[in-house]
Amino acid sequence: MDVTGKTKMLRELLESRELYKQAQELAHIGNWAYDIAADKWTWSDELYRIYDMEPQPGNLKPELTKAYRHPDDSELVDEQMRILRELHIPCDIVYRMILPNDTSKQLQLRGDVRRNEDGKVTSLYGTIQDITEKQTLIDRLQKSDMLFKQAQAIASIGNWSWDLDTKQLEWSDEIYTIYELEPQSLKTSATLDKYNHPDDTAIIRDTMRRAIEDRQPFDFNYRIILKSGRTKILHAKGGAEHDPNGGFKIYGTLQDITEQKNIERQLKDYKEFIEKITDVTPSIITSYNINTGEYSFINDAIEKFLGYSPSRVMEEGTAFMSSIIHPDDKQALMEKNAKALEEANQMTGDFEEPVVEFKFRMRNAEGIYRWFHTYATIFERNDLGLVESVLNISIDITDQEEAEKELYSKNIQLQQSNTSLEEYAYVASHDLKEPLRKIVTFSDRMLVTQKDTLNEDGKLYLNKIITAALRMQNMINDLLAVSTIMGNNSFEPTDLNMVLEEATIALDHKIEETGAVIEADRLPVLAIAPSQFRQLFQNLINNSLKFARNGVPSHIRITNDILSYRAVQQYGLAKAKQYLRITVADNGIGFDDQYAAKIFAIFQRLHGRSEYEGTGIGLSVCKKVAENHGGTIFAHGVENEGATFTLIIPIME
Amino acid sequence: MTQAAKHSIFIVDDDQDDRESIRDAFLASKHHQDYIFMKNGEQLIGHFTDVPAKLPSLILLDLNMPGKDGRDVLKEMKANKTYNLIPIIVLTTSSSEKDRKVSYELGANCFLTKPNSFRELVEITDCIAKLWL
Repeated sequence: MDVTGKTKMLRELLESRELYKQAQELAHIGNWAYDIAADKWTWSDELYRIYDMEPQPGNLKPELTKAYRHPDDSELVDEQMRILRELHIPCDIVYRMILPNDTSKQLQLRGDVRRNEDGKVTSLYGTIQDITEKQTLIDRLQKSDMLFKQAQAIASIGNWSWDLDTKQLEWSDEIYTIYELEPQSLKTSATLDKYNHPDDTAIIRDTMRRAIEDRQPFDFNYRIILKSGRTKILHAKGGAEHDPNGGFKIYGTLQDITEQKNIERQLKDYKEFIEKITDVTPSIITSYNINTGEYSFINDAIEKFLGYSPSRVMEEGTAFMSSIIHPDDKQALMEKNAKALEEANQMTGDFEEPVVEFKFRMRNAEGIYRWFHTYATIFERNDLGLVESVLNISIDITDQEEAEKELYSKNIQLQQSNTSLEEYAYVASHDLKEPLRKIVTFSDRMLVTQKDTLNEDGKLYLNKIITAALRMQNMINDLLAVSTIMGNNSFEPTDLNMVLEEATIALDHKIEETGAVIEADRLPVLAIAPSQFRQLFQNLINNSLKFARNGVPSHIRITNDILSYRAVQQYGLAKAKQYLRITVADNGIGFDDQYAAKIFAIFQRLHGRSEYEGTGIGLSVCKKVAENHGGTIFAHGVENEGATFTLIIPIME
Repeated sequence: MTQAAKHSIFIVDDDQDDRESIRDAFLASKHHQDYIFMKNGEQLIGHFTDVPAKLPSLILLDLNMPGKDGRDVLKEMKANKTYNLIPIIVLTTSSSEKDRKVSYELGANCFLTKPNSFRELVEITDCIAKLWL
């Protein structure tokens, strides 16, 4: 029971007591008398008033009023009057009457007999009192007494008094309940001191002493330990008061506040827990009323992240917070917020409150905008289910945002530089090729048109010019090819068998010509850049075909496997990934293993141009492709026996 | 004996040596036509703005030229309903796959890379004359 209810009940109780007193004072009592010998009735004026009649002189028969009696009570009145008259037994009854104006009254009829010296009954007399009001008051009083008791039970409040003169104690039922005793099971001289908690006996004794000696009111808490071993916390309130008889009385109330205290402690613990969390959490936590714009909570982090004191923000409300939002972010933020609120207001049935995320900038106390990622949810709804307050948790993501932005701009730069590199390669190769082509074209035309005038040396020199220019043209073409291959980095799941087939088809003529044999195990499907892998296979096979031993047709064997965990460690690769190993082994001229690394360098040749054609770019392209796929390639050679190329690439999901 | 009217062939190339080489290659295989040199795209497009313009039987177009290049020319010519049926053969130094693709997409009728030797150029021009004239 809340305090308001209790106060109201006590007030009602006091009022009714007051009214009772007034009622007694103001009681209207009418007198009547009946002279038996003369058969004459006498009514006082008051009685006429009770009956709502004008006072009349003369003999007024009570039968006149009979019609006004309540039908259920009429017989009772007659009976009592008969008993009085015949048996001379005094009467005291309450009966109801209904007046012509339909109002009802409760009347108390008292009657007795008057005797003469001889003891003979000469007359009857009595009073009639209108107790309607009094009865109502008594009813109300009884009702409020009941309410008071109920209130005590509900609030676990008991009251007690101690008469200082008689040393007698009185306890209400509720006190017994608090002490877990049978109601009214103690003698009035007993005390409940033995239940007091040992640590609290001193304060109880002190307080009581002050109440008795200094007449000081008291209001304090103390603990009791009950028979059951349970500890309770009680709230005692009271004081000393003069008794109407002149003595002193200590009175008071006692309330069991154990549960309340426990809840308070739990709430306090819980509140401290939440406060600790909100204080250490690296995010700004706020809750505000969407109608008033008032904050109900702001944690200290706001000072740390934005430099504004929580009290200041609390005072200025949401208007302040919206004033520090970056102008460029404001409109979108407000719109999203309004939309989220509208949606939240339309939610019905059972649901979990949605969490809406926002990303925007806020200006800190130094005037610098910081990026925040805010998670917002509904904190409170009103009785109609409409959103009342919102809880926001904002995380400073400025560093992350800046890193991302930097990465983005770096990527753009990289793309730009890649694009410009490609353009550069294209323009350079084109412009370089033009004069080369002219050298070749005009040397060639010279050879044709000056055939008869040129001597053998001249023809030889011109041919050398043409050969050199053509070789340079090939190198430029290769460089251009590498740059375009590397420009294409779109990886897609590809059947490597198909890629290998395409590569061999491109070399069909040469394979047929040399009678080479290519054996390949079934390859998996892998996410790769197909054009790059086609070039890689083509270059490796071409390399084997080119460096075949004299008179020994190439036998090229292509195998593959998934690297074992041990092998991954041996190669020193990142352990988290899976790797595919492809080996291309031939029976060609091989090479000295000391050059194993050198052969992948661009334009690097192990053999003279006169022996083997080519610019020496093929294997460096293979290396680039492998690296482009996050893998590696290495070679192993034995002179006059053959070479083995091992390609390892991670398997991408 | 009446002589058949000569075809007019536009050779659009910024390189004078190349323009002359291409004409010489045609002549070397006895294709005696009217060879009209144009050194850039502006000159070619400018020609078609005169009304009525003399329409060539064939245009040999270089891709990389200063100003309006071969790609721009292809775009404008093939978008023009009056001239879009004139065959345009791209003859360029470039052998890049990208250039080939773009040229065909822009409506080129053929894409050829300029050969290294004059002998090859003669073979090519001979082929062009026989197929497109």
